[in-house]
Amino acid sequence: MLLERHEQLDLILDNLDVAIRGRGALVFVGGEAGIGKTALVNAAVAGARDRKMEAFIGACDPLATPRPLGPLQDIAYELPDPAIIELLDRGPARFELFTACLKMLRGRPRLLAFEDLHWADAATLDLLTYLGRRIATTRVVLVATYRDDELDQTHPVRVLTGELGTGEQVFRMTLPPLSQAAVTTLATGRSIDAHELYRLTEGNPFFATEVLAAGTAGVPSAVREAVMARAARLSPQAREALGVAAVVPQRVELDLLLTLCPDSEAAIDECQHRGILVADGGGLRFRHEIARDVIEHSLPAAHRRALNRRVLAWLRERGSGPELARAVHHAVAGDDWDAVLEFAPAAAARAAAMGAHRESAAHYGAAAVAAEHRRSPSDVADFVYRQACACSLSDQMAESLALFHRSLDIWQQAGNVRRVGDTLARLCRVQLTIGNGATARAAGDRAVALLEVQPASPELARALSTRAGVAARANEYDDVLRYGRRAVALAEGLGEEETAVHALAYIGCAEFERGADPDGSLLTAAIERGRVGGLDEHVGRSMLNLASVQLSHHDYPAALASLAAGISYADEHGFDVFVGLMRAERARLALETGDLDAAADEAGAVLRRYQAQDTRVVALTVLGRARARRGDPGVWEALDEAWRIADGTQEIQYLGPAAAACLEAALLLSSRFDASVKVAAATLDLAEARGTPWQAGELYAWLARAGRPEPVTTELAEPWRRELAGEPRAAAEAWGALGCPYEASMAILWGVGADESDARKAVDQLQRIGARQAAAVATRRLRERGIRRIPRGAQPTTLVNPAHLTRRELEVLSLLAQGLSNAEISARLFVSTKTVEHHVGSVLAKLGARGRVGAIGEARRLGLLSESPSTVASPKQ
Amino acid sequence: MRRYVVERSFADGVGMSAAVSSAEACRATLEANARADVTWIHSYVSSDGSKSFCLYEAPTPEAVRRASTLNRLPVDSITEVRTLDPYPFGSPSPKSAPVGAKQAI
Repeated sequence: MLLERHEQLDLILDNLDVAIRGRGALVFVGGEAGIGKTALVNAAVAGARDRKMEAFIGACDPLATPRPLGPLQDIAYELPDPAIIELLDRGPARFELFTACLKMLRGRPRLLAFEDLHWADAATLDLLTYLGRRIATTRVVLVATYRDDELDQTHPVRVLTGELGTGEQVFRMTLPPLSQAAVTTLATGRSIDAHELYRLTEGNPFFATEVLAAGTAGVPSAVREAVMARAARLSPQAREALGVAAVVPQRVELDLLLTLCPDSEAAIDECQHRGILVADGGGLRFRHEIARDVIEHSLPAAHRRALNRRVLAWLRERGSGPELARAVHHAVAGDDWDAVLEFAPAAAARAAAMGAHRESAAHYGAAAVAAEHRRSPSDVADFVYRQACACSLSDQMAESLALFHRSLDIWQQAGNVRRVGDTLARLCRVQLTIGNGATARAAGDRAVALLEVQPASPELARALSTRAGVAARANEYDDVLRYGRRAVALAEGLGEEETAVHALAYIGCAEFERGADPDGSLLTAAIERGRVGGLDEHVGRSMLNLASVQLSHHDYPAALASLAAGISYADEHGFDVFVGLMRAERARLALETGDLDAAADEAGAVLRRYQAQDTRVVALTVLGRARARRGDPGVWEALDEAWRIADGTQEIQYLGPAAAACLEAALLLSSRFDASVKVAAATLDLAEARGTPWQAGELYAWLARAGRPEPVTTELAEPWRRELAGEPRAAAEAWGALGCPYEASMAILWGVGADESDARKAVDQLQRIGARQAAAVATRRLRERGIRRIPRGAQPTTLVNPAHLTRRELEVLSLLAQGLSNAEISARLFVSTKTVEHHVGSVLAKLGARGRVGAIGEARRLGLLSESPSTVASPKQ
Repeated sequence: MRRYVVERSFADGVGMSAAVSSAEACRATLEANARADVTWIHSYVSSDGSKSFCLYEAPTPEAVRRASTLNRLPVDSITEVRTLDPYPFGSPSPKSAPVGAKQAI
């Protein structure tokens, strides 16, 4: 009996009907433990069967460390889908695996469920992200449940539901507690006071049914009591079997139960009759995970340990290799250190191959603990080191640092110079990622110094390459070449392809940046070589660097294409960090080409989702500048944090724009003038020593505009040079040729000696790109100079009939944007072509467009089409 | 969540009323706001409909702009605000109670 869930069930069933006709949906179901998520899923399964549709459920396990892609495994074996099974067995084939899953989803119409996402491993969440973005093109309704009371704001599941939540055909629901009326219905015919029951259980269905089943006269004060009361009514043999079952997370095989509790068929039946255990495939499980948890913790510790060891023995006996994650779980719970050492490293490797790095780290951690018990320090150091590597791949930087330090200490005590040097190089990389430039440099220097007096080794090649990276971030081009070339020579000599490609990419980037390799051909060659060698991560990072340098050269068409290709690649290969960095760069591109809306929106989206400091500093600088130019609130909030991060890195690539942004904001908002001038002048020193002609130029110009000019001592990029030389119109033309309308206008309005009509046009340009504050300040200054007849800004919108599109019209519009013809749209929506024509006509009229292309453009401008990284057009590389 | 006041200027004198001119327009306005994560609290509109000051609750100024764009409303300026009222030190004493208030006997 499913109480008070009709609306939610109907939503799922309605979407099943739509899925049959070719339009899938993703439904997130959140709620506290015991609220009835599984009951809803079961009702949905029944509904699917009524419609002659297949239904499959996969669950994330409450294992100490979950199996990678657990739910997918469950479903793939049940379907069965040989292609997916083969890819799962094969190992690292993430991209093929995801596309195979998508293909399966586009097959027969089905209902799929992923339960208990709060226990999901990283790979499952990535898969769900990938499928969720494309769910409308499948024929599946995918229901994903999770406990929302166990998640904090930064939990990966929250990020997932937030990111996907506004996508096409994605629904989110939270199950509320039962009302008093429903609890009263449950309690009909029982001697328990329904009001008392409701008050104590607060409408939680599981708690309420447990209490009713326990049949005690009074109402227990906690779920635990209720579960124990129910268990107390069992015979001793049944209680024993229950205890064994409680030790096995998720499903316990019948054979396992019988092996550990011989001749207990009757006892097991009793548990089933009492409703505590239910049948599940080839085994049994607790009716609810809460009950299992309570029973497990009620077992005496020694007994629990012994049971786990026996379960592990059974797993081994079963042959064909025990499931690794399960084996590790029972080995750890049974304090069986040898078994942990046997299984955990393999489990870690397997998780890493699936891209579940968080889980990989946890397994290595368990192995390290076991190695400690076995008193084997070098093993401990090795496992801790691997754990640290896995942490850095899963964005757990603080943990990664601490773990590398720990392994470093152990190796220092053992006098193992090679590993000490290698770990220092790793620490250097992590410190760079976090933004501690000085600490990174020190670690890198120490690593190289230690290793270069030892015989040549792969560790030395890696350390040299890492040190080249430090130099690259600090724009020390000569050092990049020096360290980088040594690294390449040594790596190629030792056959270390990955290190060689890594170093070649740094060299290519440096040469491209300083103009020694104008086409970026060296960097492009490094990307290709990485692709050929299957070095996905290097390819991803190098694509990011290519786009970044093109952007810093203001080659916007090339940068835009590189960003689109790069984001697509990184997204598909699961390099979340690179996606974040590139989206931040894309925001910067939008700002520089005068699209303040896109810049602020993308920067905001990046800040909501990504934590990495080098991503945030770029996004914050862009956001602060966009707000200042528009006169929106929150300017200093963004720029102060940007400066704080930039200051920590001491890298001119961040300090330069941040300082210029602060001075720009000070002039536009008339606040913090002196402080901003000071900061800009100090940063100029660094730019003169280490910056590019663009970074230095910007700082010189803003200082001059602020009335605090500094003597020019370095080479400047052309538009800045012209402005400082008193040629505002030439400067504006140079900016115009690059495609930077804001800078073009500002050169005229703040440079010296511009003529009046140019000034008026510049103000108009600022207003047209929405830089209202900049326009207002410029207008005031022009009036002070006695110039009249300054344009007042775009006409306010005449709003007679706002363009409110109906839901149907929005649907048609989105299909238009995907390039479908009227005939294809009518087939997709199951309406006549005449109806489609009517809708299209209405859409065009409401948007004030004359053709489909215009309508799509207007719709994009109004933000009516959903944007996700993977929908950016990607020209083939 | 923050509060923002948006100043708008309208040339046609219809102004903000268009946003609630019918049940459908109202629903569409609120839906668009929800999509942008913005809550419209209320607006002050001039008698001739040419100017309005609209109070919103939103996480960022960009969300407010997005909602305005979706509803095709012009934005002159956005200001972050806090509510302030004239009784920061408690309610007025009984001697200065408003006319018509019941007197305690």
